[in-house]
Amino acid sequence: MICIVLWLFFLGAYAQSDSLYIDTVYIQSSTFSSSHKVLLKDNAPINNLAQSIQQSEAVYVKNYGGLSLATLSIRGSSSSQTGIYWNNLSINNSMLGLLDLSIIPSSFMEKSALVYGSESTTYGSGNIGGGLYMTNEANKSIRLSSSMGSFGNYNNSAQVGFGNKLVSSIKVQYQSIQNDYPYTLSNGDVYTLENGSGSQFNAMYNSAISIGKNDLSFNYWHTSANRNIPYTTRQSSGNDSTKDFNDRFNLNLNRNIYGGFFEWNAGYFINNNQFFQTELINENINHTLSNRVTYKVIRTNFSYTIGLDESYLTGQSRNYAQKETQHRIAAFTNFSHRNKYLDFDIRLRQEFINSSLVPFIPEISISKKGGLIQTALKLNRVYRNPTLNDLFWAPGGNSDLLAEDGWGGEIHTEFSYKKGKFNLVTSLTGYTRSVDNWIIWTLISGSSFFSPRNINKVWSRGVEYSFSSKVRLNNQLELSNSFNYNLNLSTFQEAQEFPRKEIGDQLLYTPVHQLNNNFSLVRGKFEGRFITRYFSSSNGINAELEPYITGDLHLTYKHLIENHRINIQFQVNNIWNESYRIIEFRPMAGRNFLLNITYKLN
Amino acid sequence: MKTFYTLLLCCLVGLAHSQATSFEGLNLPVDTFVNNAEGPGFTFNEDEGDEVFLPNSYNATYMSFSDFAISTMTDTETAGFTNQYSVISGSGANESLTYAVGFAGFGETYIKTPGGTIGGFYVNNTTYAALSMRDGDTFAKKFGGETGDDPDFFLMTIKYANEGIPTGDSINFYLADYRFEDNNLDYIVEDWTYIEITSGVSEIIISLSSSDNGAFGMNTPAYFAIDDMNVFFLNTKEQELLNANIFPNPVDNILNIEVEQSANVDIYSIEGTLVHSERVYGNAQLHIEHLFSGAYYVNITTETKAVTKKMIKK
Repeated sequence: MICIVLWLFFLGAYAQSDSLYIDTVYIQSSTFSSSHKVLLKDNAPINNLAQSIQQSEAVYVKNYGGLSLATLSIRGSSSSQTGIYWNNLSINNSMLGLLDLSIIPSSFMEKSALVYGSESTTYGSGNIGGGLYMTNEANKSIRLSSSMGSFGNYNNSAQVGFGNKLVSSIKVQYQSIQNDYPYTLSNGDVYTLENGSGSQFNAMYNSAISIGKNDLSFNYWHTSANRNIPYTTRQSSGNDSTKDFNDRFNLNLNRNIYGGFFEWNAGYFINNNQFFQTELINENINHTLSNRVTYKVIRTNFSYTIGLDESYLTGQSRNYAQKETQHRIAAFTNFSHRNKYLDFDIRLRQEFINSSLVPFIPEISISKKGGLIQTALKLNRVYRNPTLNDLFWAPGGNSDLLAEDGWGGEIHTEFSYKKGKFNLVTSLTGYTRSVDNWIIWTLISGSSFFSPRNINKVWSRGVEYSFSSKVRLNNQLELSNSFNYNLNLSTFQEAQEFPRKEIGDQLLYTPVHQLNNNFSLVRGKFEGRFITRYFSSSNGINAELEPYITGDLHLTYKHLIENHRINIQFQVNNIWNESYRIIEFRPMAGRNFLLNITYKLN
Repeated sequence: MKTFYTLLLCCLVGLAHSQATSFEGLNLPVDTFVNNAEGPGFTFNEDEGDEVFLPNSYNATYMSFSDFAISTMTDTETAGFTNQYSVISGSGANESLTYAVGFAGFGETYIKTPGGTIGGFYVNNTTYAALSMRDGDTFAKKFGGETGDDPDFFLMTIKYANEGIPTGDSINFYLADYRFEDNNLDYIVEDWTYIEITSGVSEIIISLSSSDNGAFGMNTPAYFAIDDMNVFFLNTKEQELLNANIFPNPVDNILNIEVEQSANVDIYSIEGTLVHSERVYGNAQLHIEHLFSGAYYVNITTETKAVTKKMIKK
């Protein structure tokens, strides 16, 4: 219904003449934007999003290795408590609640931003720990990239942009990998990873046009991935594999009207995930139709936004008794007051699921501006609706589940200094968050299968520290370093039998200490970058995982002739050949090499 | 549906008789299974006092079961949950078609024989459990672990009970045992193996445990297969009790029979096999040197009376 109304609105406005281009892709984050971090996109042009995040941020990417599943955990959140957005719309799989970042090429996104901390009031369910926000902008650049690396890793992509009034760009990418890397066991025996091969194909079409007061953009994104599931270190046989097919359509309209900015984002997303052993074991198909409408008025000292989110979800599976549906609708608003010294935000959100209320979500934030030091404070409520699998999976699905619901607060301070060719930014954030009705799949007495229940309470708290500095010594030489350290304690506040946990135990797969350091040296056309990552030990389902530290060396030669740019990059990843695991029994690759050549015409 | 196939081993007209309940009576076609019993479980031999009961919990919504299913599945190759109803040997005990698959993933299951005494049964691994232990899978470990040296085991514990009350006694049977210093001795049971129950109980409670455990419990698939249950029943409706005795017990090589009239003396192994038969005329001595050490049943019958005694051969 919202779609139809908005189309009529758009057609009615078509004849008007004034043109105002509004950036179709911005993140509607709160005043608390100092925690907003943009990924280092061009660091490694062949990365998938999981690799981009791992190389630039100190957040935990739960990665099964190679081209296998990779999901994001921010501030102790689970993968389904981390919102993933494409052009302002959530694309988390509605059945699983998560999104696999390993099959998203970073180069497909014009902007990708990682936001620490919840934006539940603005973006709704599932944004408990933070979010990843990806946006597209059609442009006329041409880009060709080809790489080859260890373990049969071939990755090629191309992008071409064209048009004047209607600007379009087409992107394609194909990667295949054997993943037959060696790994070493604790007794020194060396094995080769088996059944790790896979391939993925991505294609995207972006277009944008300004018609009168309307800025319209359309995006289509197809992903297909065919991946074997590698053996664990204690598995010697098997042929498990998955196939994923995703089709995503997105339409955006921006318009200046009555002194404010109107924006409509619409999306239709189809996910088909198949799991095979010797035969097709299960096929999960879900469709999501989403609409998001916002109207924002900005004045000298204040601004306000009103908005409406609507999504209609369907899910089908061999493990569902029938095709299941869910209709979510939410109204949200925010009011911001700004003066010379302070920014002050109040945000409110109320969501309905199939006409039932979910928790009312308020947020209040205040920021002190001016001077070298900025400080911000935020208090907000967070929530996550149960996934379709939580509700309808057979056996076990529990239609009586409540939304996970909690409160969080954080304080952030940032110091910036710039003098001549030297600049420095350092920030410190402290946060706390308590979530009740935490959903756990557990065994109920007298039952023969696991079932989700609102039985846990989790308290997450921690500190995030970053220190970035850059100095240009002369016209040829520039040094920079970015250091990020996160400390996160996320503990059970209720004892559990399955999983067997006591009060105070750290969540599974949640390292307490997470560190990332990027050191870069640029001399003329050459750049050397060294990335160090450290993660402390974490609890697996069966055993404790050892801490690990890895180092990646990236050497890049950049040649620029007018608008033509050629990058040649050579990577030595895991340079110390560290034997480590992120998921228990799933070894990661040791030292490996990769050569990439990218040509770009702007 | 709830019929049973009874192999009468002895005493067709006696006071006691032994039955090997082999589940063939369901007449299942090959490569099929039944996981939804009518009622609380499968009852074999519906004659009053002769029932063998295997519980079954079936969830119609999820089409899942726990406790016991009856199967004729023959797939010994396919790994994984989808092949949960097959036995690793591909057929029932003694080359039969039908067997029972037990699932005790979340506690215990049981078998009871009201009015009878369980003498023993054959047990084997299911294909799902055996291949998971041999090769590992996404969730469970390959036994021996990454290096092959992990002292893994998959253990079936059988507790004895009478009328639902545990006696406190139990026996263990390793469905897989990798605890040997010499890895060549490590094994996963892949052939039907007879487990003897010597305590004269009417009920057994079966639980499984493994060395492979995580926060969500046991990782090894909690399945097992059983067949050819040997059960002894008293049948007081048909005959009077014969006044007879045997001694010494335990016995070395000569068994004294104390009986006041002519009688047939039949000795059965615990598996129900007739191993010695002799006609006596009053008190007599039987030479049983040829019998192996172990438990036996001595069935003494006259034209109108009978009695069954348990005998231990040293």
